[in-house]
Amino acid sequence: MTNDIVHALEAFLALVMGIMVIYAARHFIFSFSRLFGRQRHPYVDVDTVDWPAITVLVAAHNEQSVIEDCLRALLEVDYPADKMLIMPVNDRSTDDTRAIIDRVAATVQGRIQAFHRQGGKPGKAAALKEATTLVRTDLMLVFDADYLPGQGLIKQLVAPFFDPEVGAVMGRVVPLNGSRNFLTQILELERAGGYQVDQQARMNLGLVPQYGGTVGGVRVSALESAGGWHDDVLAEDTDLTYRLLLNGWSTAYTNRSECYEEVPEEWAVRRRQIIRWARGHNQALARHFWSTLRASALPWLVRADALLLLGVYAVPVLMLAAWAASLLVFMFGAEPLAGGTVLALALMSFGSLGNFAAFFEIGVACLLDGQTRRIRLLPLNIAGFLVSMVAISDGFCSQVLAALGRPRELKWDKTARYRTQRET
Amino acid sequence: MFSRPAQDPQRPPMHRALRQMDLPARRVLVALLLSGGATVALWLALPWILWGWQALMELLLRFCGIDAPVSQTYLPLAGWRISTLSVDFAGGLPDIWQLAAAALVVLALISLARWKGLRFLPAKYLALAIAVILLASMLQLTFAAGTVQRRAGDEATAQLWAGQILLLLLPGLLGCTYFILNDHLPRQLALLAASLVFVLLATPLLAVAHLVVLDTGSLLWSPLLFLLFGSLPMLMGVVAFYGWAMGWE
Repeated sequence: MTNDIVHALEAFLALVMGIMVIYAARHFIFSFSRLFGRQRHPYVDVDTVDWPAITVLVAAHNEQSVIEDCLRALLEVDYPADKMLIMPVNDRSTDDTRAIIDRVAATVQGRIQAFHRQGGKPGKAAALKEATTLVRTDLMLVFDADYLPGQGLIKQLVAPFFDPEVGAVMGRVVPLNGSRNFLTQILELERAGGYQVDQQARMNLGLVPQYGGTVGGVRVSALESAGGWHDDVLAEDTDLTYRLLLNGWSTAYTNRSECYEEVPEEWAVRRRQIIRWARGHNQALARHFWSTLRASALPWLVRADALLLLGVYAVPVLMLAAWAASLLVFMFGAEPLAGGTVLALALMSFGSLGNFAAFFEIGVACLLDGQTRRIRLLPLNIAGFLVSMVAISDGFCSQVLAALGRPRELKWDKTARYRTQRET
Repeated sequence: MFSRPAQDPQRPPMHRALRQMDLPARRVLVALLLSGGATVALWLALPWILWGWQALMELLLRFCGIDAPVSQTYLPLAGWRISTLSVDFAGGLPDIWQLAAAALVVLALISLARWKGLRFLPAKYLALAIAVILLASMLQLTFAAGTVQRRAGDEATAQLWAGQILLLLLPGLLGCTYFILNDHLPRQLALLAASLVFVLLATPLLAVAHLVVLDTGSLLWSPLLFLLFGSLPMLMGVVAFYGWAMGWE
C-alpha cells in the first residue's frame, strides 16, 4: 500500500476524530445543562384550565397481546372524558386485534371510534395519514399499542399546546421490562440517557427536542402546514420533527410525562429495531440536511444541533469505517507507530474523552433518576454499542444498495411484544 | 411564568424529571484543585513513573525469557519533548504451522459467528471482528510480507503511549465527571487513587502481555492486540471504576 493511500486514510481518521470530538463535546454540554443549568419545564404546573378536545390515536398492527391494556389505561386517564376521543388505528391486523378493539369499544359507548384499515400502503406513517383525515380536533396524541399511559399523562402532553408556537410534544419513554435481562438493563440505561439528559437538555437550551412518534402529540394545523404525514418514510417522527422545525413550529419535550413501553428482550429483535430506526433516521438526514443547513430563519445554534441530531445514526457507520482505516494504517503504515504521534494521541484522547462523554451522560441520567445501582453496568454498555454499530452499518449499506437499485416497498416491521394480555 | 415547585418538607419528594443539582463554588474549586493538582503531580512524577514501568517490564521480560530492551525516549509533540518509553523488539513472521493454526482459529470464529444457536449478538460480532482482523493480518503476512514495516516493539510502545496519555488525562476526566457531582473528598480521592493505580499497573502489564503473545505467536497477532486488546480494556477498566464510584451516590 503506497504512502499516499496511508496518508489519505490518516486524513480520514483525523476527520472522523474531529466529528467524534464534536459529538463528545455535545454530550458533555447536555450533561452539564441537565445537571446544573436552568431547567425549562414551562408547562409542568398547567392544571386548572379549559382542556381542549383531543383525539388519541393508537397505532396497532397485530397487537392482540397488548392493545386491550393500552385502551383500558387510556379510558382511565383523568382527562375530561367528553373532550377525549380514542381512535385505535388497526392497520390490516391478521390476529384478534380488531375483535379486541371492537369488544372494548362496545363497553364504552362514544369514547372509542375504531379505524380498521383493510388495505392501502403499508407502514405506520400511511396508517396515521389515513386516520388523520378522520380526526376532527386540532390536537391529536399518538401512542403505540404496547404503551401504558398513566392517569395524568394526557393532560401533561396536552399542556404544551397552550403555547401557540408548539407544533408537537414528546414525553419520556420508560422501559417497563427494564430488569428482565442483560439486554433490557442496558437498553434502560440508554433510554435514561437519551430522555432524562439528552432531550431535556435540548429543551433547556432551546434546541431541537425530537418528536418520537409515540408518547407524544401533534397539532393538526401544524402538521398540515408542514405537509401532513409522509407515508414514504420509515421514521415519520424524525421526518415530522424537521418539517415542523423548518416551518417555524417548535417541539416541546415534557420530561415528567412518563409512559411505559417494552424494550426488546432478545438481541435479534433489538437488531431489527435499531436497523429500522437507523434507516428511517438516515432517510431524514438525506431529505433534510441541506434545507436545515440553509434555514437562515433558525438561530445558528439550533441549526447546528439539528444537523448533529440528523447525523446520530451516520456516526456509527463512520466509526466502523474509522476502525477499518486504523487497522489498515497500522498494518501498512510506514511510520514507526501506527500513523505517528498525532494519530496515536488523537486516538487515545478521543477514546478516553469520547467514551467518557457518553458514559457520563448515562451516569448523570441514573443519578437524577435515583437509580445509581444500575450505573455499575456502565462498562458493559459497550456490548450494546457494538451491536448497534454493526446493525446500523448493516442498515446503512442495505439502504445505499436499495437507493442504487430498485426502491423497496416499505413494510411495517414492528418490534416483538413480550407481555401477554393477562400479565398486567 | 411557571416556577419550579418549592422545596417544602410537607410536599412529596421532587419528581425525578424536575431534579437537578446545585454547583457551589466550593465544589468547583475543590474539583479544580484536585484534578489540577493530580495532573501536575503526575507530570512531575512522570520520570519516576517511567522508570518504574521500565524496571517492571525489564523484570517481567527477563522472567519470560524475552530479549526486548525498554528504553526512555522522547515524544515530539508540538515543539515539546515529552518523556516516554519505547520497546525494541523485532518479532518474527509466522511459519506455516502458525498460519495454519490461525486459519483454523478464523474458521472457528466465523463458524461461531454464523451459528444460529448463539443468540448473544455481542459475542457473535466480537468473534466476527476478531476473525476479520486476524484474516487481514494473515493475508498481509502471507502475500505481502514485504509491506510490513512495523516491529513487535512498536505495538508494545503504542500500548505504553496510550497508557501514559490516559494516565495524564485521568484527573481532568474525573474532575469533569465525578468531582463536581459531590462534596465527599474521601470518595473522590478513593476513585482517583483506584483509577490511577489501575492504569499505572495495567499499562506495563498489558505491554508485557502483548510482547509475550508476539514472541510466542509472531507479528500475526499484533493488529488484533493493537485494536481490541490494548487501550480498550484499559478504558473499560477506568469506566468500571467510575461506574462503581457513581453507585456510591
